[in-house]
Amino acid sequence: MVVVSKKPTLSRQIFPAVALTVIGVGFISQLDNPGSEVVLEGAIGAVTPSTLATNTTLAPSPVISVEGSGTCDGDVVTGPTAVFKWGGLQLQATFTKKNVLCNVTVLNYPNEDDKSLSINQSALPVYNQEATEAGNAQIAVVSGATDSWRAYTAGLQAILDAHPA
Amino acid sequence: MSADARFKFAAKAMGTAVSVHIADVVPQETADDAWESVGVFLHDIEDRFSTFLATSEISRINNGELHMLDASPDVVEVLDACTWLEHLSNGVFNARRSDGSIDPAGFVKGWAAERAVRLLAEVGLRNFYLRIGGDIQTHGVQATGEKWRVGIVDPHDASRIRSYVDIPENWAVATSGIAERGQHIWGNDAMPVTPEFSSMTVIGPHLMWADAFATIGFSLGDAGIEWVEKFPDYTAFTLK
Amino acid sequence: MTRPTPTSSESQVHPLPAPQESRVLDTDVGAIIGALTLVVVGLWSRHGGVTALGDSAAKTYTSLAQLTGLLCSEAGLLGLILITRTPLMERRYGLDRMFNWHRLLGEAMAIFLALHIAFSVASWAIPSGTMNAIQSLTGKEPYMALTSVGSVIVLLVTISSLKWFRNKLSYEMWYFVHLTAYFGLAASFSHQIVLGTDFADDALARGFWVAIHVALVAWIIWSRWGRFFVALARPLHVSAVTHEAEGITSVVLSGKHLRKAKAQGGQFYLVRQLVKGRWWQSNPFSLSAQPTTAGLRFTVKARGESSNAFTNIALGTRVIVEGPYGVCTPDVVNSEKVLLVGGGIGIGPVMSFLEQLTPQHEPIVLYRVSSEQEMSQVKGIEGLATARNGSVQTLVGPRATLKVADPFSADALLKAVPDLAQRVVIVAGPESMVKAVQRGARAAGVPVENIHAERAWW
Repeated sequence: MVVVSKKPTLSRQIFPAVALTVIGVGFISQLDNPGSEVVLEGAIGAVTPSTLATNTTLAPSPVISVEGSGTCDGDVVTGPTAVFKWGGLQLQATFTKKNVLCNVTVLNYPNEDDKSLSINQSALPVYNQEATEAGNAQIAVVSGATDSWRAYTAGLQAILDAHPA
Repeated sequence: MSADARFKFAAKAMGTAVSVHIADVVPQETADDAWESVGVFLHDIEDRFSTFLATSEISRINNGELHMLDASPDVVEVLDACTWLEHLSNGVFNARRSDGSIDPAGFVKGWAAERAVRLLAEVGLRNFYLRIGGDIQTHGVQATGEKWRVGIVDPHDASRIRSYVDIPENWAVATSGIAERGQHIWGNDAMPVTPEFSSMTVIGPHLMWADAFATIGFSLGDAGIEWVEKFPDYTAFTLK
Repeated sequence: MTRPTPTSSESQVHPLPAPQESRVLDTDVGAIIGALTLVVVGLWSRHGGVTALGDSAAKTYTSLAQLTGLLCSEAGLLGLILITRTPLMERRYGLDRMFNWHRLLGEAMAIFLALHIAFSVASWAIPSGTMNAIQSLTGKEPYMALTSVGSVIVLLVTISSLKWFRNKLSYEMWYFVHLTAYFGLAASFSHQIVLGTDFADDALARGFWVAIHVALVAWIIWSRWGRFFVALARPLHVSAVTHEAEGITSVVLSGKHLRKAKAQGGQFYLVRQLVKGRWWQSNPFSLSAQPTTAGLRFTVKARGESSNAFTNIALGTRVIVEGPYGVCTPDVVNSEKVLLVGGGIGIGPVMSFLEQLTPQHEPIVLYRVSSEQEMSQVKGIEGLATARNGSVQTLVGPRATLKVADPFSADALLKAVPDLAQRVVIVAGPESMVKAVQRGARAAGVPVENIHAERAWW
């Protein structure tokens, strides 16, 4: 085998390994990383919701106090118009930049039936605020009496289903 | 590799809307497969339980082609549960129409939802919820690590949220209300159904019972809350 | 009457200078292999390979399929780098060792390929069953029909190179089968960047992958074809042919281009005759004498079609040579005593070595042949050895009839060469003989750095 004339210095020996490792790591760090795993902590203790259950009907107010709201300047999503017996209904939902529901506006509301008009008019000024207060608390899903598919498409759940988390 | 993310799905099934929100970060393929298996399962349930399909087991039982005890194990389980609920509620819950034919639709919805959630847990999903027509069965927690937060809709105005609750891990929420009237609450004539409130929401571990209890409790009026809360772990509250 | 005057001053014959040493270090090679492995595994891990393991069966199989596919390619890339015969490595390690590593990398590649196929089928079989998986992977998915053909070719090339099959094939036949590996590798490349999610979904990774493959192809073309055309531009001709014994011939190649050549005794060239019907064969022959500007001397033993073509070569035939290759050269000996072990065709390099040793080396030659008739140039060796205070011992006869079971066991070697432990051992011959001598010499106490080998890999 060929005898090398002089022993190479330590820096000469390690330089290629160091340089290539740096380049290699740099390259790898530039590659797409499809998303870090979200590690969810262990089980939250089972708390019975008895704090909210009373034997009287609740006043229409949020159960849990609301924290300060963020500015409502994120995505605006408009639901499709659903036509009901008593008129059409279309919702427009506004989210914060962090995708928290912060405002809900009714664009069309039924006005052919006086009764429904009165209900909606009394509800309108109030509900926006409540929905906002409720919305700031990051609601993920809504429960109500079983709605038909058509009613669903006009409702809040449809907006929550469609908007990214 | 397709991007991993949190996926949501919604579709029409059983006459209403089915939604699944997955809080786990999973590959698109996993989420799609899970959703597809839910869809397949629910369509299978419709095929077997729907009274609008002449070929369903329920219809065939109703027209005498099939005996109750010869039906598939799922059907037997559902009919058995309906019988139990009838006794439990002294007839307020009734899966029979006035002409004697069976209609377990009121119970099947919650029961099927719970089964579907079990399917999703089996493929390895840990944090999600499944919602059928206003009733929700949760599993795990939200992506933020907090409990699933459910808004309760105003029974008179579906665009409005009246209040919300944080659901204990893996629990369910069901709401029964005025919109359901005429669909599957047939109180017997001795006990007219005149609710003092417009909706009742029941929270408990199992959606099939929460759903049934909400239906029964709503029909019982003021006594309904008391009735539901006889059962450990199940709580009720109402909206006017 | 005027005397004829020489046309040039090259009537002076002088030995050729040795080729330039390589400055490549072992650590350099290690750094490159390490960096490539780091990038390949890092790419897999960065795309989620590690976290997918143990998740679900499908995800685990897919992840393992990706990893084994990447490692299969890496082994192939390293193997192809060796094929370029780059002087940077050749001058340090010798072509014979590079070809040995190429063989080992080829085997590793085949193993990774088999695992990659198994994991891919397993992963695709989970949703749709094994039969559907196989159908998809052999034709329905884009580029997979081509890839399947390529995989079969690569596996056939590997099998044909396994010892058992290799011995049954002639060198020429084996070489042609081996060449199809280029097609096999090219055919599978498309599926890597179209179906392989590491590259299909990541533009940077894909760019890198395509770039290194293009660079390697360019390097191979330049080194293999480039060298061929350079050799073509510097032809030599046969200036002497001597029949030494049955089937053994010495051939001397001369030419003006030798003036600028560099070579050492003990090295070998790949020799190609520019004769119709023979120009596509290239054979390795060792220099059996110290190379000079007068000529390169090769001793050729007739073994197959192509070496036969040399033993009956005509004077004046134009020949091109590629090389010199080989690092088992006399400068490894320094000033210690030497044992030269040669067998069969290895006698060429042994002779060339001897010519360059001096009396202080007291060379002992152990020469093993299969028959008395094969002892070509024994007298020539004896003369060279005794002129240097050495001696020659011959081992004659096929293995079965030798009195000693293993002629190269430690005991046998020590019996033949009592001061073995103080000698530098040079062995040249077939792989099996090289291994036996290495084993025996080490067992007899020769330090491993004092044992040098020139493997006959052809």
